[in-house]
Amino acid sequence: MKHPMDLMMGLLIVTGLLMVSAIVLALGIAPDAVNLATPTERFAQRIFYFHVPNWWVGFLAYLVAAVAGALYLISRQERWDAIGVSSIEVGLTFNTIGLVSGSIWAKPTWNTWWTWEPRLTTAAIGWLMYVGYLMLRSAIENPQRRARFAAVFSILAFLDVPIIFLAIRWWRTIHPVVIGSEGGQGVGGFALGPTIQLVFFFCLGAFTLLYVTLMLVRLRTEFLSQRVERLRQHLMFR
Amino acid sequence: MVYLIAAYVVIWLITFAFVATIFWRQRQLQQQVVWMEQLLETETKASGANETPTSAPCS
Repeated sequence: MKHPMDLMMGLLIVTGLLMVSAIVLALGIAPDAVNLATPTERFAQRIFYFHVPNWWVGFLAYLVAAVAGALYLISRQERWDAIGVSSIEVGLTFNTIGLVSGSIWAKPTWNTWWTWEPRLTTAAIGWLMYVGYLMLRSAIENPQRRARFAAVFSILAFLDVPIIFLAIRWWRTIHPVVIGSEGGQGVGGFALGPTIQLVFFFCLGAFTLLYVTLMLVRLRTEFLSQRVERLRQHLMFR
Repeated sequence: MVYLIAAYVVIWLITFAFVATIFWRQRQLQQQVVWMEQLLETETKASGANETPTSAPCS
């Protein structure tokens, strides 16, 4: 049987190779979007291959945290709390990248870094809620109380995720609807041709594996942190 | 082109910063675990030595 560290190293190597392939495909193989007017817009469109997978992974991470939160409330097992906080930290990192890369893409496409339209506003609210989750955790000392509050918060915060996803479909907005729309509505929208789709789904897969890898590494830190907490309690109350 | 490069640089900077933070935290925690376990071991040995019987066996 393989040692867990060997498996982890293998996972790190596979993830690294997939991420390098994703960069090559996104920058070199994927064709230009046909309906974008200027070269600047066509270059910026390639941010799409990393921007959307970042949001997808963020949403996946928040879903995992909400499920872990519910399981913690049912079972009161520490490991669900560890999975919840790890997933939210990883998700928040991907969300931050999503917000920043989206803002950089918006400048050449919409001629502004930021605009308070429904998608961006709900995304900003979601980001702030998950920052609030981490602040809430750091403000509570009792581990059981912290885990209970965090579990409830992660379930409530997840309610924003479907709203972020559907905002561009519910309301009139500048943000393009690329997935599930012919030709891409909104400013800077484009059609998903077969090669673009192939590269896009490859990037989605690569980022999902990156999430799994980062989650395992982060989870190890959280288990170590719980061990330190137990040792501290043992030293204080022996 | 500038926006594309800027976006990719930002994406990888944030990712690597996050990974570096995780590994840094892991190292700190591992050091704390080692230190606390040593402290526990030392104190267990010390309390074990104190608990040895003081009365001499009857001859």
